[in-house]
Amino acid sequence: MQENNKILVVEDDLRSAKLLKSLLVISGYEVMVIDNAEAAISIAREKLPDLITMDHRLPGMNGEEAFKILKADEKTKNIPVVFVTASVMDDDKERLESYHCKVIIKPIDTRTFVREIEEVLNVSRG
Amino acid sequence: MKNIQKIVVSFTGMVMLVVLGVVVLFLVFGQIKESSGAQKHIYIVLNHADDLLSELRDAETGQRGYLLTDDEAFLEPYLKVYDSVRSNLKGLRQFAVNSEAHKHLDALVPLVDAKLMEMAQVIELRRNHDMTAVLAAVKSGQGKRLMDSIRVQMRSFIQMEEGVLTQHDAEFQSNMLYLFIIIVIASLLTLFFAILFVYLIHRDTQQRFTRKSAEAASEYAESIINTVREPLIALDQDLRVVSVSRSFYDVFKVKPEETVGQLIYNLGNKQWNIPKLRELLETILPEKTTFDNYEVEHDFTTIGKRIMLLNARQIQRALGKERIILLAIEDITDKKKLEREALMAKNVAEAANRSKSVFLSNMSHELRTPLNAVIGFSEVLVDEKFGTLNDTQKDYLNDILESGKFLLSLINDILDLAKVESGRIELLVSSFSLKELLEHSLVFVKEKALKHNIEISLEITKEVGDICADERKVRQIIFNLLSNAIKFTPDGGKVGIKAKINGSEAQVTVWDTGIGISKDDQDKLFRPFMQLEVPLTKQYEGTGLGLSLVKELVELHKGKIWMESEGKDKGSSFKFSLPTGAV
Repeated sequence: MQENNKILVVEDDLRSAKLLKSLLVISGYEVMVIDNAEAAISIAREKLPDLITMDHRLPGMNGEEAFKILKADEKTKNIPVVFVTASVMDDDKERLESYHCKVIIKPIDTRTFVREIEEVLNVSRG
Repeated sequence: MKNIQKIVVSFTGMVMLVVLGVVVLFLVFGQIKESSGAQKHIYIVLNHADDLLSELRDAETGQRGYLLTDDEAFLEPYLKVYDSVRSNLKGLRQFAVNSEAHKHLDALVPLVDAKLMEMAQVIELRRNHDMTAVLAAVKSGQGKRLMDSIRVQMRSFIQMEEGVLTQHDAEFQSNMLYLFIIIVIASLLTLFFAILFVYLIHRDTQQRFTRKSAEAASEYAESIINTVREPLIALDQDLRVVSVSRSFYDVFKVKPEETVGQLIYNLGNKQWNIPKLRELLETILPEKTTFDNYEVEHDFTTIGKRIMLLNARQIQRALGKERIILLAIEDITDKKKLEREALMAKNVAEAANRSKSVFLSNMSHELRTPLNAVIGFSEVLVDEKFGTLNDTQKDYLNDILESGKFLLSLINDILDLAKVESGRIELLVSSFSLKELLEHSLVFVKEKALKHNIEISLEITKEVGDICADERKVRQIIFNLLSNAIKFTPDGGKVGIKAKINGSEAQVTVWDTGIGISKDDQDKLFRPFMQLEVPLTKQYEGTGLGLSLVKELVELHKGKIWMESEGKDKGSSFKFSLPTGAV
């Protein structure tokens, strides 16, 4: 774990957001929470977080679309995205994995969650 | 003329000819008999005449002998003739019937008398030994003259008789010729009539037979046509109706009197003027002589919109060169309607299925989201990440956590089963080592087995190698069966896996020494939500969906699953077989 690692949690379910935030905060991360994709994109451009956890089903734009926009943007394209979703129908999950992203299915395993986030961060740092 | 008349005429002709022939033969035979009688007669006369002449000659010779020798013995023939010659002549006269003969014979009588007289005179002279007178008498040649005259006369007679004989002979010959000709003609005529008779009888029988079999054949054809439920129509080359089956009238509501002889297009007030039918009959049929299963839709004024299935054959008529067209018209309107309804029902079902899938997906999402908080927060609290808890608090929090996890497994099972049942699961077939998969599976349950002091064993025969199947699903099958085995086995029991190859199938057995299953319950085992007995359900928590999911997954691989148990408390063996080759 490194100092000042900023993580943007995109999650419309407040209780889930709270759980993710508390897990990450006690592990020393700086956490921003936003409940919709459109706002998430502008925050990402502005604050340039080290990692984004992205819910798939969101009001308005969904997580997948937001992911594509972020990847198309020069500024944000290198920010790793981890999908944290309750959508477990095979085709959804497989499609998300096809973007070479980590997909974590809700309910999350609190005992492994932070470790999985760290692994992604380590990969992105090279 | 009718056949029977011909037969009577020919038979009568034959009989009459036979009768006529017999009569003619009779007459001709009479003639022949008569003329042959006459011939015989003439032969006798000729013989007699010859005899008479030779007797006279013998007498003359004998007389000469006597004249020379004075030996009375030489006179014997003379004496004989002397006594018999007159009566012989008379007899001859009686035999000879015609007057010419009589004339000759009458002329002979004085000559013979004179000859006899002359001979008697000369013999008398010799008896008196007047040799000079004898010599003179002989020398005078009167005897010889008389004899010559007799001979001449006799020859004339004989010649005449022979002439008659020749005439008879010729008559006989010509009679025989007539007879021959008559016999030949009569035979030929009889033969002709006999042949005619036999021929006519034969032809009549044949015609009767042909007529009968033709009647039988047409009756047969008609009964077939009328039995067939689908309407049939026979057309001639000009597309006019030759005949129609009963069902045609029934189905298309046309009247027989308005049908036969009509052009097909004109049937039922020109209702049958259907462009597609025209095309089939006028373009396709002449080219191919047959067409099959053409669907034609037409709106009939009498019976409404109909969909028909048309089949046609062009057939050669048995007699003559004309062809007829046999057209079968099946009314498939109702069938089509049913098909459409079935298709609609299928679409509805598919739409329902799709919305079911969407519903399942949504439900799964909506249920998982709150569980994320329930499980997540209770987990971090139990782990005391945010401060220590007392034992009671920890115990209750564990209850929340376990209930949350149970709820989650229930949702997962329902989702899996629903996916299999709606056919949304497809097999991702690859070749993998069954042996390795089984070994890895044991690792997952190791922890739980240790906790309950359950001994785990694995027996795999050497032949078990790679199989072609969906690896993830096979793992799911084995994991489900193993979890069940451990769940239903009391502490200190045993659980194991056996695998072997049976022909083209891999057979895997997951066995345990657990609570077993009564025979009655074994049937219910693979049905959804079917956990056995209420108290059991409480003790061994589970969704009751595991085995039905396993069954679906095995069957998706075209495999079989079954279970064996000696009964309650005697353990159970769950066995399944999968084809080793590609599904």
